[in-house]
Amino acid sequence: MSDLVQQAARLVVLVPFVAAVLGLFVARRRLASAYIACTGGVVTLLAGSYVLYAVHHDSVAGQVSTIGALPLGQLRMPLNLFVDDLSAIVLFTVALVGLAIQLFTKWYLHDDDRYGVFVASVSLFLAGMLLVVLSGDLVLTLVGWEVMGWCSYLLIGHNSRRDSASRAATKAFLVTRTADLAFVIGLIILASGAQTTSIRDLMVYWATLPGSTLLTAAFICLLSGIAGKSAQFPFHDWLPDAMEGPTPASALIHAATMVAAGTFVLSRLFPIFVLSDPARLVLAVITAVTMIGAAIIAFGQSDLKRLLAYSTVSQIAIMLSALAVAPAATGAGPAVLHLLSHALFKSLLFLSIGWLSVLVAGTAAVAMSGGVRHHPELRWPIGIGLLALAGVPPLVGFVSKEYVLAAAHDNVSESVSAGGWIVLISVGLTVVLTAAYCTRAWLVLTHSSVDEEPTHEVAIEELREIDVSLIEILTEPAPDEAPALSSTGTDVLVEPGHGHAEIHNSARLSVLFLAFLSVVGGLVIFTPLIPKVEPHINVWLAGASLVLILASAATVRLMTPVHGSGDAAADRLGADRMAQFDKGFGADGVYVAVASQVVQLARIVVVADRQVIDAYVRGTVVATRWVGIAGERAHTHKPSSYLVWLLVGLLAVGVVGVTSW
Amino acid sequence: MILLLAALAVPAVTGTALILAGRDSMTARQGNANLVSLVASVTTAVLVVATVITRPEVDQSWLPSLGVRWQFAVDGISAPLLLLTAALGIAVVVHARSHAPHGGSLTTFYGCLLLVEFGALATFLSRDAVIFFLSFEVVLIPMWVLISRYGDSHDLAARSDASGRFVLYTVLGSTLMLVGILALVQSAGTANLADLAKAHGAGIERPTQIVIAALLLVGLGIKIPLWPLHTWLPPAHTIAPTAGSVLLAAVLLKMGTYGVVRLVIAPLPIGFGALAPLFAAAGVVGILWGGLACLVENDLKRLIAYSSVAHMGFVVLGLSSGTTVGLQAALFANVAHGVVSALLFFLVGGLKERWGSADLATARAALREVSPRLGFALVVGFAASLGLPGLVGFWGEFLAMYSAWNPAPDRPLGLMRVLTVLAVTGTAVAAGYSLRVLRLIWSGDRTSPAHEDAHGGEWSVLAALVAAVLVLGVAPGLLLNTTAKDVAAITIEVSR
Repeated sequence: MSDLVQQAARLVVLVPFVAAVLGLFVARRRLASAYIACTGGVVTLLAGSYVLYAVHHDSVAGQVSTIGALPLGQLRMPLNLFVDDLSAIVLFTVALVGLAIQLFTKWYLHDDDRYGVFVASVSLFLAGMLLVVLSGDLVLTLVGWEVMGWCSYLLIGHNSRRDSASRAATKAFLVTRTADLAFVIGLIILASGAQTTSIRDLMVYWATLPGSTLLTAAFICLLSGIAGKSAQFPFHDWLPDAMEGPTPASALIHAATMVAAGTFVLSRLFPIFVLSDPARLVLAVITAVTMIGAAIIAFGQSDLKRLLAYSTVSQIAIMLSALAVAPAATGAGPAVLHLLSHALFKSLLFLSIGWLSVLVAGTAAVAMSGGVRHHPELRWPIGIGLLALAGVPPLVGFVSKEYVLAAAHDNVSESVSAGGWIVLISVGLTVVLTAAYCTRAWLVLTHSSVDEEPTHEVAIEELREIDVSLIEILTEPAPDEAPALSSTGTDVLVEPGHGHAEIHNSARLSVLFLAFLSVVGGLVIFTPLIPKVEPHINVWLAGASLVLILASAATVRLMTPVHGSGDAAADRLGADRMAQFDKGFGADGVYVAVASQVVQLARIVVVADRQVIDAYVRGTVVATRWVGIAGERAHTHKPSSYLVWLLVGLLAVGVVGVTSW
Repeated sequence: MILLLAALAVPAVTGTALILAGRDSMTARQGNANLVSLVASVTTAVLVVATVITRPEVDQSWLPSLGVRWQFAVDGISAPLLLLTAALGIAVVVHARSHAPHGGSLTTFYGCLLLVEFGALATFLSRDAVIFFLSFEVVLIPMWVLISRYGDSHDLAARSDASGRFVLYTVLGSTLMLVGILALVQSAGTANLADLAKAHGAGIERPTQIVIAALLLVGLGIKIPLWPLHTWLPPAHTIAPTAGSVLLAAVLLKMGTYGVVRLVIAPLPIGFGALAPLFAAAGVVGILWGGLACLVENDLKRLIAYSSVAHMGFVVLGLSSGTTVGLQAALFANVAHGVVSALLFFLVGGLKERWGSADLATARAALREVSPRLGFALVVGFAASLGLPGLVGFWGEFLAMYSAWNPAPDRPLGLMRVLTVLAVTGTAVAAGYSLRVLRLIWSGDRTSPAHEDAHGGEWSVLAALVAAVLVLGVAPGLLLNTTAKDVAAITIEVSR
């Protein structure tokens, strides 16, 4: 591999990292921050494009050294990057979406006093994701993985003045970190067997042991961490709360980065993942539960941004399910294709909904009702985004979903496996549900009446009181003032004040460009950019899913009242049930229960520390004092008693002397 | 050779001179004390760096009848700790320039700081088991003075309890260690640490090895501190002045783990092997115990003290694995904890001074709002403390867990793997308490009561430590390459 490609690959990771560090130094100066962040984004994209070009034009692939191997005895830890067609296309997409988000942020947060810190965190976040994508070493993967987790904490909690934001950030980090415990063990198992952390070398080692129990154990551990970062059941509940972050942060986390990182890591390890049937079945079940459950919950959200959040959960499950069923010959192609397509249309949706939220001051369905009608320039971007999400041909979402369905179909037709059927049926069901919530969202946005439902407000008020969080327990010695009412629930998503500045051209262009790509992105199957993806569409599957989409959309249209709210969900579910949907059916309560158990244990530890362990220490003081008192008592100041003791002593010495003679 | 002796003589002589001059409480001289100790600590640091680079050796006869010699040298295992000690020696003096403690003459205060530095340097430099012990003890009294005279004077009974407990507890440990050292020297026939390491315990019977190793592990375990011998640490940290807390956490605790490597693992491999499972289990219990205590602890200084118990648990786990990876991990985590705990104690000491107490239950101004520099350093400090990859805390802990999963062949595999899983769980607990603290004092919208941000000496110390956390986190090879060769000499790996 030529030097130039190696340097470009290093730059892809290094530039955003340096941009983050430099950005922190000038964080107080807006222009300098914006300049550094956007220049970093451009340079990263250029370097990434070059890597993509070189990989396909000169068909190069291989390892790139970074900070040098670490001297660890028997364990080889080369800390290399790995460049191939898989990493090249994903890093290109990440860099592209990252740049679009940086440009959009420059407008969106134009009057935020912590803009500099925000974009520096975004740069660091991108560095973490790009490191995961380029990593050729499990340890580098873990580094990027956790750095992203930490940045998500900073980004979600960006508005740290608001208690709800800092709580959502803490929740996101703690949930993903807990899920990562098993992830770390999984990495250790994989590395231990081969005594190396180099991904290429350890795959060679594990490929010789298909179906081994340790391999299955390792992957089931990895799946836990992936479920955490990708917000899969049962760790999904952090992601909707993460909507607390400013919209660009949501777009970043949801689109090409954090939540998709699990898909990428599993795609990288796919050649050995495919060797473990039990682990693949576990993944199929997790994703099936998640994609259907999240799609149902998405339908009943009273806030459109949270609707998008649940749709992400559901879409990520579709990506991962492709890995659970794709035959070895198909490879990770369908999953990666859906990753790319989701990155495009989801960042488009977040940015355009964020744009609209500035115009209508809020993201609640009530506030956004009729939004597109009043702001027609958003009609196309949002419309394209929703169509792509629903999987309508010929948009990018349709193409990628067809590949996932085809992978499941191939699996079922090649060999009858439970996982294949589970995925095939649940993806089919999810297609229907996705079309339903997309139609609902579109009907709300285009509704002509802006009448508000009084019952809806009541539901929101109730929600505020019920909602508790695991962090409350950790912070029991709360600062004196009571948590403000505005701390929870739906109204958290009120956007920061913007002063309604006219959108910048660069931000507008970013949105339009993403919309363009969401339309034509499907053409990527005619290029060799995605490994092992050939242009073919299963006409029967495509036709069936199209019929399902249309039927579903028509049903929702019929359900929607012409007058009143124009919101199918609010009308049919009623305020009480909608509040249940908004709370995600109490998943947060489960987390709180677990956390409170840990805190109980901590209380016991503190008591034991003071009353048991320290008791021995204090006991020595007491014992010493008692010995002293006893000694003092023995001093009776009577010569006769001293003489008795002297005689006893002499006798003892004599006995010892005689016996040991 | 002159360099090495000078590196020891400068802090020793200056420190003693300052203490002797301490009775004179003229303000002019008090001001000079800082300058004098600054010059002394910088000179010491320069000399230490020169010593680490040139690696001279000193070998002079002292007590021929006991075979005790003045032997000093530097190797890869002690070099990072020497540099850490010298750097923090400067940091505490610079920090005290603007944040001098109350309670007594400043000359005595600075004198004690320099004497602690001298004792720690001598401990890390000595190549003779008896000299090691003597240096180890030199630290004790000046540290006691720092805690008992310059400590938090809000509660005098608590202060005398903390300082008394510190001194008595560690003297107990030292006594056990002395018995162990004498037994070791007696049975091995030499007090030279290099010879002891080279012999790998040849000629010492297994039962003898186990008994000596047990004595030494308990004695040194008090210093580390190993669960359940840790209860002296939280009160000592709570009461000690900022400089005292920093030296205690970043330097004194390291002397314990360093002693385990020099006096137990290298010379008594069989004895240590027999006790390693127990040692590792105590370390892992410490990880969980300390972490859980942090989840509900309301005194910020105590909280960081408990987190130290947890972090040192990872060092203990790495040491116990008996592999090169484990020993490398332990030495790295040792230095990492030195840097991170120094950063956190400087921060928390400064906050306690501003707030008047370190109580978390009281409502404070959010650090991010009123003092962004302190807030930034706090975020980095706690991110490193929870073992975030890319920062210094990660490498030692991750490698320690790897090594415990793959221990040396004579360790019980099942137990070590269970311990690994428990240790991994400890990292989530660490995330819990770190974010808890950040949520309580870093985020929020309160801006009163306002306090001033860090600047001048305080900020430069914090910034330097933040930089160290980042640099060692991004380039762990700097440290691992230094220790690699000497670690390989200690662990003779057998492939499994």
